[in-house]
Amino acid sequence: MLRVAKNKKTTVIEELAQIVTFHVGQEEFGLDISAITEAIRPLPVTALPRMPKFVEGVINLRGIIMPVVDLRKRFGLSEIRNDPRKMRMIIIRGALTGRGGPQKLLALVVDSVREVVHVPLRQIESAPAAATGAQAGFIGGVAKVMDRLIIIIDITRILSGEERTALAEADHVHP
Amino acid sequence: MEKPFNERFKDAIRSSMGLKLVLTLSGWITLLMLAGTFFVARMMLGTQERALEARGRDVGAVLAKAALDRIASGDILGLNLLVGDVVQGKDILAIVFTGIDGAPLTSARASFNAADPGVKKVLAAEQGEDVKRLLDAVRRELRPVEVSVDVSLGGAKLAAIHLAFSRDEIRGNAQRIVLLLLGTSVVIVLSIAGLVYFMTRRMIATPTSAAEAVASAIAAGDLTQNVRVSTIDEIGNLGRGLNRMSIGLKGMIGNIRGSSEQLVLVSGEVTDVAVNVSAASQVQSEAVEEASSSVNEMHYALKEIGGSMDDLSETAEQTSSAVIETAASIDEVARLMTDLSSSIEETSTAIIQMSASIRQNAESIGVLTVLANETASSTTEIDAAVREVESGAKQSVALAEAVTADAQGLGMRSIEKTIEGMRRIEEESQRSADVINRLGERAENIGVILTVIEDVTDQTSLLALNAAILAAQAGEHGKGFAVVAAEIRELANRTASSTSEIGKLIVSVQEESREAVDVMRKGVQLAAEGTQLAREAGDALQKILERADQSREMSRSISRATAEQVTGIRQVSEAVDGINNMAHQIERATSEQRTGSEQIMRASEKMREITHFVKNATAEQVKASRNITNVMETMGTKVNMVKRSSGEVRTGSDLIVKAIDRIKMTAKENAALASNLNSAVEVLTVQTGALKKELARFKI
Repeated sequence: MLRVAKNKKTTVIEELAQIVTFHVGQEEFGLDISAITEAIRPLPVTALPRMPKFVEGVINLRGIIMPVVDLRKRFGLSEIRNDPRKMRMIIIRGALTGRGGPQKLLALVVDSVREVVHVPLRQIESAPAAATGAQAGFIGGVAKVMDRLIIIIDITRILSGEERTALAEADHVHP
Repeated sequence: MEKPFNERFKDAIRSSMGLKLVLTLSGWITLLMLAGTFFVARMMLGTQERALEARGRDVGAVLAKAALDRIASGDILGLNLLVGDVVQGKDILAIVFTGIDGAPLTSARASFNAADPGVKKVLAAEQGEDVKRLLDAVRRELRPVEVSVDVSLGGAKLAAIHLAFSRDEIRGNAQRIVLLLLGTSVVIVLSIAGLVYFMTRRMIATPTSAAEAVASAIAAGDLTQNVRVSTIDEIGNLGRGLNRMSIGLKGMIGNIRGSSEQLVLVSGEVTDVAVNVSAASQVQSEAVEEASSSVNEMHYALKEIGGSMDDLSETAEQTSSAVIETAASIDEVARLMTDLSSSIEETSTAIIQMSASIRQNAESIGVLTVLANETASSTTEIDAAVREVESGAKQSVALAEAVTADAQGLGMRSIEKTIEGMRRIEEESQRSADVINRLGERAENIGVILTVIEDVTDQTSLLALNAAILAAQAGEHGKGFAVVAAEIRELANRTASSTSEIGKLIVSVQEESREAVDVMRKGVQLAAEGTQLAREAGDALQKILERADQSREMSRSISRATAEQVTGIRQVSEAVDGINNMAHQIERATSEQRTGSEQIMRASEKMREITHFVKNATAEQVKASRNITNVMETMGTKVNMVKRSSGEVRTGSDLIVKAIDRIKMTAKENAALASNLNSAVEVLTVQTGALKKELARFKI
């Protein structure tokens, strides 16, 4: 998406990223809008036998079965929920297969969804070095909007390679 | 108001994607074609010019060979004939032979092609035979293609031939080619433009404008429209997403509208209840006013009674002093009567000793007459005093009766009205409290409805977010749709804030109704206190009535005793008159002196009897007078008692007036609270109306 910003002398064309922001715990996170298919109220989660540990279970969204990952557990936060009425599931694509493959869907459990923000690309900075360890590899960048700080999640790094493989195997076991 | 054509054309281009594409493409192709045509024309002109020059060199070579021997033999005439023949050839304007020195060898007539219209014009303009000047003129005017060929024999240059060719044909050829190329270009550009325009219209513009119309309808609140989707490309997806959103919104708006109608109903009920509360507090206020005026009436009546009591007391005192005076007079009468008795005894003795001294008798008679006169005047005085006592007693009776009537009529009636007013205040307060409690329950019902609205608002917000996601994925075409989604989200946020405001209002309504119930309870308590005070006042008034009855009885007995006294005094007066008469008769008898001592003796006997009688009557009168004095004292005491209890009643009445004032203030507080309640309910109604108006914008 482009935005034309006119100064007095020059005309600058800025590239804008559309980010859907949500809360997990106290922090505000963001996902690029193109990675999201929709946001829904939580559906009942069915735990399947022999599912990998990091997966809560599966849900049935209009006939499509997809695995569910709880971001609270994923980010090492306590199990205490805030308002259960505000909890949402965000359906994303591209996390299971990376770029190019068939678009398999994955549901993320978050505490609440806030809004869609338009952020100029130059306001998104890469993740600080301290936050790129093994536990925080999913951080794709940090966006500054007014005085808010939004942690941008890299869709391809939510799951590690082994986890992706484990899911693919589980998928073969339960076709 | 018609816009100029170019303005309308600009607007058409701005609003149509097909026209934009067509204009850009055809402009570009036209530019390319024009450039190509220009280059082709330039190339052709060069080629043709070179061909003409080659032809010139051929003609020059042939002409040089033919003219060689003529130039060598100096046959200028022959040369002129040759040149005159050749110059008539196609495209040739002039052929000039020049010698080694540069002077022309051929004549003007032979050298120029007079058949060519350009050359003919130049010749006519120049009017001369100078070949060199004419050649310059031809060069200047017609810009011919020139070729020079040398005529040489065995390596020696004999002469030079200058040939000039017309450019007209070259130009004609070039023009034909350019026209042909341009024609082809126009056809190509038109066909490409047509194709592009048709494809754009068919594949992008029509479905997008249909989707935009539906999105605009949703934005305007009309949810009955649908997009017809026949393709499965991005624009088709946009249409399907729009339809899904429209269905979701339809359901939700239906829910919200139902809730809002319920809310309006409940709000109407609340308004009714609030009006009831207002009316009840109005009635209460009126009852308090009535009670207050009754209490004031009673208060004034009690004051009047107090005044009457004061009058009564004064009159009683007056009566008492009059009675004391009367008693003194009666004592004097008694003393005089004793004197009279002894005098009569003396008279009797004197009559018995009548013969002793007539002079002495006459003197005694004179003394008797004086004394009788004195007695008569004393009796008259007593009579007047007794009459005064009588009228005082009568006045006392009248006042006591007035007191009784006032106490029974005004006082008791006022107290009964006060008690009735208090009872009504209590009842109305109880009813107000009930109504306010019901209002609190209604407010809780509204709270339940509000949670439903909150839920629906939450869902709307989620749908708007999904719509924004869909719009973002539709790319540039989804922009308008994204605006609609943002507006719906804004609407949901506004509904949420309005809902939370209503929630706060309900909490304050509940608090205020609790406060109002407390105040009502206090009002009931105060009313009960007021009733108690009014009852005490009634008791006090009853006491006053009893005392007033006693006073009346006393006054009546006074009146009766006085009447008896009057009778006694009349008898005394008559007796005194009799004494007077007797004394006169004695005087006459004494002056006659001889009319018979028996008669005198009898008269003297009679007089003694009468004196005894008078003495007895006077003693009775003294007793009655003492009685009167005692009665008057008792009456004074009673009157004082009545006066004290009247003071007590007045204090009670003051307390009641104060209690009524407090009740009045409470009723005013109630009215203020009710009006607060009313205004809160009005705000609630306004908010509900605003919510309903927002919702009425939607058509399902």
